[in-house]
Amino acid sequence: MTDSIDLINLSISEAAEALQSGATTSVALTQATLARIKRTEPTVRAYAAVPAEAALSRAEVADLEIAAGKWRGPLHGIPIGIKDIIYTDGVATECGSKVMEGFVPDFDATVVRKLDEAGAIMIGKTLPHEFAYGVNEPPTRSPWELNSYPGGSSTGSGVAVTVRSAFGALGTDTGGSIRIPASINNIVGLKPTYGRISAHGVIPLSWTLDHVGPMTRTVLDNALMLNTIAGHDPKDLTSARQKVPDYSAAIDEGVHGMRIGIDRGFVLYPGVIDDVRAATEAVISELAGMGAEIIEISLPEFELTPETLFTVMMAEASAYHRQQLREKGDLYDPATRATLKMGELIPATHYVTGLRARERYRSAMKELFRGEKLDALISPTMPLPAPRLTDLHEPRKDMDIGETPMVSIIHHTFSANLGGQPALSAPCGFTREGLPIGYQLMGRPFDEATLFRIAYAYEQAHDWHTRQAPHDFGAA
Amino acid sequence: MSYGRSKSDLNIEADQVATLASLFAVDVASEDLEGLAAALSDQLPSIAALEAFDLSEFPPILRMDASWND
Repeated sequence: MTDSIDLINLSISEAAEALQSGATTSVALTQATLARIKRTEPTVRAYAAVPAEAALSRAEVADLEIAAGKWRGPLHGIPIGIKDIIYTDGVATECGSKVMEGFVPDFDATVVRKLDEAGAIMIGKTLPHEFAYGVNEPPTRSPWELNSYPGGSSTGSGVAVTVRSAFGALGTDTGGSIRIPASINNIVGLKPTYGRISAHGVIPLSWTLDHVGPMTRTVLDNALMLNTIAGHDPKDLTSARQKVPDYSAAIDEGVHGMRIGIDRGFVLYPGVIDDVRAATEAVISELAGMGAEIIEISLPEFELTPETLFTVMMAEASAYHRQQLREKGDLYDPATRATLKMGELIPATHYVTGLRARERYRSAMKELFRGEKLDALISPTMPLPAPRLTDLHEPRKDMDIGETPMVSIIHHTFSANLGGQPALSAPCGFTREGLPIGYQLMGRPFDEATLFRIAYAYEQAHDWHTRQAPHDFGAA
Repeated sequence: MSYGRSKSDLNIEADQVATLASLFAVDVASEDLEGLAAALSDQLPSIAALEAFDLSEFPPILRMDASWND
């Protein structure tokens, strides 16, 4: 049997193989993960709650089932983190907010139920920005640089996966909240197609923009998680009925003949720093070397995306919180409270204009993919690496472009939320200062499989995803 | 607080925010009015960026469906 250090560094697919072969047990994986949590949490604080006893009990059951030949699939017996805006039956769900302090749901979100039915072990609830809004400062710290932004709003999920205190995690993404922490933490994050994963039991931020998705250390692991949690849910009115394919089936078939588009004017705009620009160009060159065709495109409607998303998101978020803001307003973080109040003052006419602009963007994107016969679009996930926390809302110091780092961060991620298209972030290098860089692929609706194929092909040629944060978390 | 990219000459005054907030039953402390007015002065003109595009052929999305089925 492998020792605990080896166990926590296994990918989900490797751990699943070890469980099936009897090389390890779910109890051993869970104990190793709990030990890792104990070691890393004083530094990074990724978790809101860790129900250790329940996790170990579930692991014992998983071991008995696997030993009896009742293997449920690649997540059986694997410790997984759950973002703390997702309902978990009997386990507090507090959304990173005093407003929800002590709230314990009496049912599982559909996505949690699916994980449970697959035999996954819920190792803990990961800390988000308050209500996933992304405006307050969560207590989680980045292991890559303690004073830098750890990413959000799936903050704890990203940090837990990168420090090996979870083998994978669930995040949610309304404007980049899976892909941004994935990029910052050197892991793989997928925002699937809108409606692909049920949102039943997930506290909304913005109904028409919210997505649930997997965060993992490898591309294959991400596909395996999506296999488990995707599918129609009659309890979610926005749930899609499209058939769920096996996302790992063709993952290794390469990129030869694929057409990958890039709008250099938008995604390599002046706000992109040199190291990110070079890393992105290197990915593009490499994919071309593997046989993909790189197509230069221009989509003016990209320019619509920030204002459209902010207008729609702020109005919808304030509508959801309207009553609660009046009853428990003093319990919100001041930044969240102010943003919610501001959303209430946005005129309805602006919201409707936002919805019309969104339709124009979606229409243009569809025509672009069809006209150019594209398989995917590529960009950096973020124009810059994780900024320092103290600089996040100040004008950028590295260039005079009239943006704060926080506004730059979402430059490339908003569009996929507006269109509902799948988008994946994966590691592609490091800055000179040693901070991770990610690239983003955006695809056709319900064609996550193509994104996995491209990202897997690139990942096989590199070891970026195996590199870990330099922090040693004290003595073992 | 700064959201969005837009900067304009629109100058929303604190007393205008107070009136609007009162109409919509939004409780805003007097010390927060200036900040909210500044944030709205940045945010509200952003609609002009959207209206710079021709939206005449595009009714609002009333139910989000990500598929590209015509």
